[in-house]
Amino acid sequence: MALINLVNLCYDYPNTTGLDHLNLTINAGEFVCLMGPNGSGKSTLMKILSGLASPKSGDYQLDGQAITAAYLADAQRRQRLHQKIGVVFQNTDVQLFNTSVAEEIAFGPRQLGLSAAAIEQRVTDCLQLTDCEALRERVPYQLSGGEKKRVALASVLALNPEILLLDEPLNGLTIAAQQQILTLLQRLQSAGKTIIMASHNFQQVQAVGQRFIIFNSLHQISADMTAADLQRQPDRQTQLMTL
Amino acid sequence: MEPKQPTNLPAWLQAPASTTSHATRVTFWQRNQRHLRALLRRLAQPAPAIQPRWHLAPQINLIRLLLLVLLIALIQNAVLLWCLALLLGFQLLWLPPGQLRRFVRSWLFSSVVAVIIVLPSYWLNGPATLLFFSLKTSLMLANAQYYRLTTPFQDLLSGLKSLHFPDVLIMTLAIAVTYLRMLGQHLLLTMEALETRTVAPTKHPYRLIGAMFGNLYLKSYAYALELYAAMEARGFNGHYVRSTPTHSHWRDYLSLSPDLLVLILFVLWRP
Repeated sequence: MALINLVNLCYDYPNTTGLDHLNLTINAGEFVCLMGPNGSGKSTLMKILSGLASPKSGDYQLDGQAITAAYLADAQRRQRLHQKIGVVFQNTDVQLFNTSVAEEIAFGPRQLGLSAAAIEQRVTDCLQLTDCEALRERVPYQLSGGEKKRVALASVLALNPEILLLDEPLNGLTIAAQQQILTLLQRLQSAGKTIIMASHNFQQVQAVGQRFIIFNSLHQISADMTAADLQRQPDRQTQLMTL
Repeated sequence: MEPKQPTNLPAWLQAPASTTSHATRVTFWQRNQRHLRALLRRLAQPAPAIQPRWHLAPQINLIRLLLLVLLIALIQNAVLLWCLALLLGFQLLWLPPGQLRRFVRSWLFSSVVAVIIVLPSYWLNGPATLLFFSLKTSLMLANAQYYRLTTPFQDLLSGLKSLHFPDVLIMTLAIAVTYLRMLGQHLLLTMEALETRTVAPTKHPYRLIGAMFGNLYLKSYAYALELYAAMEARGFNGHYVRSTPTHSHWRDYLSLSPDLLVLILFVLWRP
């Protein structure tokens, strides 16, 4: 079932193109990897999907609902969209603003109006899932880059979003920590979540991605293929290795 | 230590998310989020937006602005002020409509603010005085706005350097503006991140604002230390050097001639 549908989507920055006539359909429960060189439009697409930016032209439909500028102008509908889509930013520094890791994770569930016991349960579970139990009382500002990534993921998971948008979530992590996050993401996908992950490192994601959408430097999609298709094209794999 | 493999997913994370519907009590914070974001976006953008038809040497541009402001402040003769207004009008004629609209918008806004805040003392001296000083102030602001919208920040620094302003002043200005933009960008991204996790009206918006600005302060402090260390590591010795020295062309000096003519008239003309 098509969860996300983009038709002829264009986005412009003040002096440059962000996305050029993008057509894309993503089904519920897919694990999609957005690949491409720096500045090709991966993060811009993430911004549009998360409702932080409106396209210049074209249609964006989420679960059959058109996400337009008018839709995003309504605070209540925008909040519903944010509950549906969790975002882990490329620069997780900006994503952590609370005074402790536990507070950071509790921020979302608290807004959902959950009971204190349910909030505590979610915090403990998310800390365990991302191997952050030891960081519970630490100040997020003082964490290392890799720890911040894991805490940011935990704080997004606490909202139980249907779709996870992850912008370069593995950068700055050790190989073991990368594997740990990828295993978690695979489990989330098995539980029915849709995972959309931007990366320019093919080696990091080739084992988990089910579908690869490749952007070119013209801010367009140059290829859209399944992992099985990609297996049959060694040339394409080599090209992705050198992004 | 080896990271642990993630444990099995808890039941709440496997259940479909139930979207909650909240009463929309719009707070001051939420009402103004859009305006704040627009402001930060503008702050984070590199200037300028308007391209002038004639590109003059930065120092000549700066001298011209200073000369014009000085003349407008000193001139009491309506004919000479009219000449200066015509000069500016001639430059504005070459701007494309979109850019002209932008100029007019920011000029009108700054003029209204000046008339309301800066000029009330003239209100007491009768309508003629008020009108005259309001016109002088708006002319001054129009020139300043034109300079602001057509001059990149790097040109201002080059102009100051060419006019032998102290290095410390130029460097402080350069770092302050670059820094302001960077912090604006940081705050904007933080607000976007906050928005993606805002699924209901926030109960304690001011606590959030406090946390965000606290974080911004810590970030700016860390940035400042890193910046200074990086400058020292690259041999900074307190002397600010611009990479491209600017030279004046005869056309640059020629562009000053209308203003100089008004200056001569101002000095010699006694009606």
